[in-house]
Amino acid sequence: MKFPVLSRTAFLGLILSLLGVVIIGQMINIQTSVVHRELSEMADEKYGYEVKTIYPERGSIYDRWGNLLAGNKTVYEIGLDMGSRYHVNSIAETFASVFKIDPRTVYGKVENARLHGYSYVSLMDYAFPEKVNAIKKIQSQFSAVNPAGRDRSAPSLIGLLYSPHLVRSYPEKTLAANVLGFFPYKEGSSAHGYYGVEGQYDELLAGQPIQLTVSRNPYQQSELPTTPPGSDLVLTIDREIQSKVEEILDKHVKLHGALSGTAIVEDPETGEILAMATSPRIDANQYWTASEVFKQPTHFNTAVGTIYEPGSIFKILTMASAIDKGIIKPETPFLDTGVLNVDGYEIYNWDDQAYGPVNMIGCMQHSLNVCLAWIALQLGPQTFDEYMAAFHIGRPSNIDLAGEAYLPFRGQGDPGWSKSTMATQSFGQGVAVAPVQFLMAASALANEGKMMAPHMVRSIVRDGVQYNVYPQVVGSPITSESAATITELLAQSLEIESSKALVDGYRLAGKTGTAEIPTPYGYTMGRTNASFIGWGPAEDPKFVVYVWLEQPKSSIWGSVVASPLFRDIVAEVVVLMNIPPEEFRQQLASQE
Amino acid sequence: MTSRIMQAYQQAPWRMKFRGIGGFLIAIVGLFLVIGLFLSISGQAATAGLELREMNDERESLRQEIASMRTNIANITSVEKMHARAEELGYERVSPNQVTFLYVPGYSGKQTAVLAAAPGELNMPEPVIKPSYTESLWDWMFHGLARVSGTAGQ
Repeated sequence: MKFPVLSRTAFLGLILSLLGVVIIGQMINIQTSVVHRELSEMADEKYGYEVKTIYPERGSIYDRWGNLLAGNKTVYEIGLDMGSRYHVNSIAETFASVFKIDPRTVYGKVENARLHGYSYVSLMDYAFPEKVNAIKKIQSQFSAVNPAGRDRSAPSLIGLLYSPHLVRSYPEKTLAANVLGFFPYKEGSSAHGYYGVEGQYDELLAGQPIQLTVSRNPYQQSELPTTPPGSDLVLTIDREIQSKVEEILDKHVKLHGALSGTAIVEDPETGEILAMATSPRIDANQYWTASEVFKQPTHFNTAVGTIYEPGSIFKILTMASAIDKGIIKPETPFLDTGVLNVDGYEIYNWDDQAYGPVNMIGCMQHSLNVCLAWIALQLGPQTFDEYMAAFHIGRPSNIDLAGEAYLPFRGQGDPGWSKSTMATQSFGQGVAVAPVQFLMAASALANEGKMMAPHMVRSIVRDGVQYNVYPQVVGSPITSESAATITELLAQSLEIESSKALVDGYRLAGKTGTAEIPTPYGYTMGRTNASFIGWGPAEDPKFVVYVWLEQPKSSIWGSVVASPLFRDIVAEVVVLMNIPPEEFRQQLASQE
Repeated sequence: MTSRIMQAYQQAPWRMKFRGIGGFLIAIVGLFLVIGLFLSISGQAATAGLELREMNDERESLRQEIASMRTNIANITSVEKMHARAEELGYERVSPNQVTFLYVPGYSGKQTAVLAAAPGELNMPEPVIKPSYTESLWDWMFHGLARVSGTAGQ
C-alpha cells in the first residue's frame, strides 16, 4: 500500500503533535500531581532554605582618649571540599610546614570525612591572615605546575576553602588585662566574657544575634538585615598612666619579691579610675594561660577580687570618724604607754614600744595601735559601727567590674563580737576589704567628705549615640571640714616622718600599712601585706593612689616597700595629669 | 469585490494553505517571543538574586575587614610600639624633674574621646534610595509634572 506524500506529512505532524501533547500533559502532571508536590516540598524544605544566625560584631573597648584596648580581627577557617580532586599528601605536608602540626592530624580528618561521606571538612580554624597568605602562595605555585590537580604525581592544594570570621583581639596585649578581662573566642557561639569589663558588660558588648531563614532560590533573594554591632565602651582608664603604673608596679614586685602587687589611681572628685594595675597579668590574647598564672580565680584582678586585712592604712578612717564626731583634734594629747587592755585583751603597738606623750599627728606618724584603739573606745561601738557603715566598709563598692569580693563587717551584736574586736578593727585587724572598697572610703577624705562611686566605664556608644556615665555621690560619711583636717594631719605626719612616700614639689597626705596575715592558727610571723594610700596635692586633691604588695620578701614593712612604690607612681602621675608643683601653683595664684 | 476574492481562492487553493501555515507560524513566533521574554526576565531576576547574595557576602566581608584594620591600627600604635618607635627616633623619656610647666590661658586640656553624637544631637540620615524607586506611578507622574511645570515657570 502506498501512502500519498501529504498523508505522510500529516502522519508526521500527528506524531509530533501527540509528542507535544504528552510533554505538555507531563508538565501539567508535574505541576499538579500530589507525589510531585510532596517531593517538591521536601526538596524545598531540605535544600531550598538555610537557617542563618548572624552574630553582631562584639563591641570595642577604648581608653578615655579613644585608644582601642579591645577590638576584633579576622582569622580564617581552612576547610577542604571533599568533592574536589584534592591531594591529601600535599595538604598534610603544607599544613605541617606552615602551622607546625603533625601531618597525621590532617590525614585523620580527611579520612574520617571520606568514610562518613561528608562534602566538607574543617582542617584548621583561627588561622591568622599571614599563615593563610603563606598557604595561598604555595597553592598558587602548585597551580602553575598542576593547574587542575589532574596530575596525581605532582603536588596540588586544590580543594582548600578559606572562610574568614572575626575573633576578639587585644592590641595592647597585657596592658590593663586585669581590667578588661577576656572573651574566650575559641568557645564559639557559646562564649561569654570573663572577668573585668568583658564579664561585667558581656550582654552589651555582645549585642543581639538574629536568626534568619534565607532562601537558596535566586528568585527569592532579598537584602539581609544589618545586625547592629554590640555597644562600644569608653573606659575611664588613661592608657599612658596605666602603662606607667604597670611598669612601676612590675619593677617593685620583682624588686621586693612580692607574691603580687596592686596599684590603683583614682580621681577623687569623680570616682573615675585612671589606672588599675595588678602584677602578675596575662596577655588576654592568650586567655587560656590564666589558669596557669593565677592559682585562684580571685587573683585575676586583686584590686577587686581579693580581700585582705589592710592593717594600719585603716587608721585614717578611725581618725577621720573621731575628728568628724568632734571627739579629738590634731593637737589632742595622748599618753602612749605601749599597751591597752580592752576587756582582758591586751593591745600593743606594732614594735611593742611605748611612745609617751604624743598628739594625734604623732599617733599617725608612729602608727600607734594603742592610740587608735583608744580613739575607737572614745567613739563607742555604736558610733564606730555607724561610721564604718557610712564608709561602706564590709559592702561591695559596686564598681562596674566582674567578680568583686567583699566580707561583711563584724559590728556590735554580730556573733563573736566584743569590744576588743572594735579595738583591733580601729587599726585594720579583724576587718577585710578589697583594695577598691578601701579606695572608695578613702576618697571621701580627699574629696571634701563626699564619697564617689568608683567606676570604670565613662561612656557607652550604642546605635550611633554616646551615653556618658556621670559621677555619683555614694555618701558623705564626714564633713568637708573634717576631710580637710584629716588631710592636713596626714600631710604633716608624712612630712615630720620624712616619709619615703614624699615627692619633691608636691604636698601629699597618706598613710602606710603593714598587716600581718591571719591564718587559722593566728597571725603569721614575718609575712605581711604592705600597703600605702595617699592623695594630693593636699590643698586640692586630684588623685588618690593606693598600692599593695602581697608578702614582700625584701622587707615586711609598708614604710620600706610600699611608700617608695607610691612615690614612684605619684612622680609620674603628676606629670601625666599635668599637675604642676606647689611652687608653680602658688606663683600662679599670686598672679591672679 | 468579495465574490472576486472568493473566486480567486477557489481557483488557487494553495492560497488557503498558505494562509493557514502563515497563521500557524505567526502563532509560533508569538509564542516564542513570549517564552523568550519570560526567559530573559527570569534570567535577569536570577542574576539579580545572585548578585544580591554576593553583595550581602561582600558587605559582611567589608565589615570584617574594617574591624580587622581598626585593630591592626591599634596594634601598630600600641603603647609598647609607640615607645619603641620613639626610642628609635632618638627621643628619651622625660623624668619628672625635667618637666617645665607653662600656664596657657584658655586651654582646658586634652578632651576625652567622643566616638558618637550625644543623645538629642543625632540628625536622621538622608534616605539613600531615590523616591522614584519607592513612590507609586501616580505619585511619580504627579511629582514629575510638578517639577516640569515648576521649571517651565522659572
